[in-house]
Amino acid sequence: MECPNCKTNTEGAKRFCTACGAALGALCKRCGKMGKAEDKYCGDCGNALVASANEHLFSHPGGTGEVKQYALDEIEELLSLRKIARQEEAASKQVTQNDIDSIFN
Amino acid sequence: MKAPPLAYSALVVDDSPHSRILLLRLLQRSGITQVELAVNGAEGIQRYKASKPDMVFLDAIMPEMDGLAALREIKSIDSEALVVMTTSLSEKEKVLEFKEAGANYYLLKPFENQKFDQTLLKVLTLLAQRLKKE
Repeated sequence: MECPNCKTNTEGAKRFCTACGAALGALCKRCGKMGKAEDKYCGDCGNALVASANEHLFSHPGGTGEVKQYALDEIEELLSLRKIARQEEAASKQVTQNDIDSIFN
Repeated sequence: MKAPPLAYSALVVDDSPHSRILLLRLLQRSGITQVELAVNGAEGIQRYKASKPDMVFLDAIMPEMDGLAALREIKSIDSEALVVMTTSLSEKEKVLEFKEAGANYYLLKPFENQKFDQTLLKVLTLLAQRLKKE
């Protein structure tokens, strides 16, 4: 199978290019069959393949998936959101004096 | 109105001067005039060993020795020690940890004077019950 990234031919039904690590096909998460990289749906069970293929691009250690670059303000916003989420999580675990009284009585 | 003096003694362990003074005044107002103050858990243990107060008001977050360690130490010295946690820690997990370590009561900061009075009344009732048994 020809690699869509480096054009190297990889023999056999491989999921990733042996030369550059790019995904050679789209793995169906439902039935486990391998489709072509350009397939949108699994030919065996009809499941959508786009997400599966993208996951492989991003998750394979040797893959060619892009690493998203964040701007400083985006990082700050993400950290701020994470902080809020943590505060909300902590607040949900907090108890009032009445709750405490019932624990100690 | 100031209550008549009671023959009970108290130890206040808190690193915050404001909290120490507040608790001292509330105790004195309730008639407990024998009040000792300590600024951290380690000093609290020393004072507890030396004077064996009837009740301890113990903060949780303090330098050197925190409230949980101090509570465990006090309870190992005297399992009957009457300890009221006075802290702003309100996570259930922490509250349960203090309960398991032997805290008798738990007063969440900031507290209203009325809440303090209610807790002190429980403490005094418990002390009176113990005296009756003796």
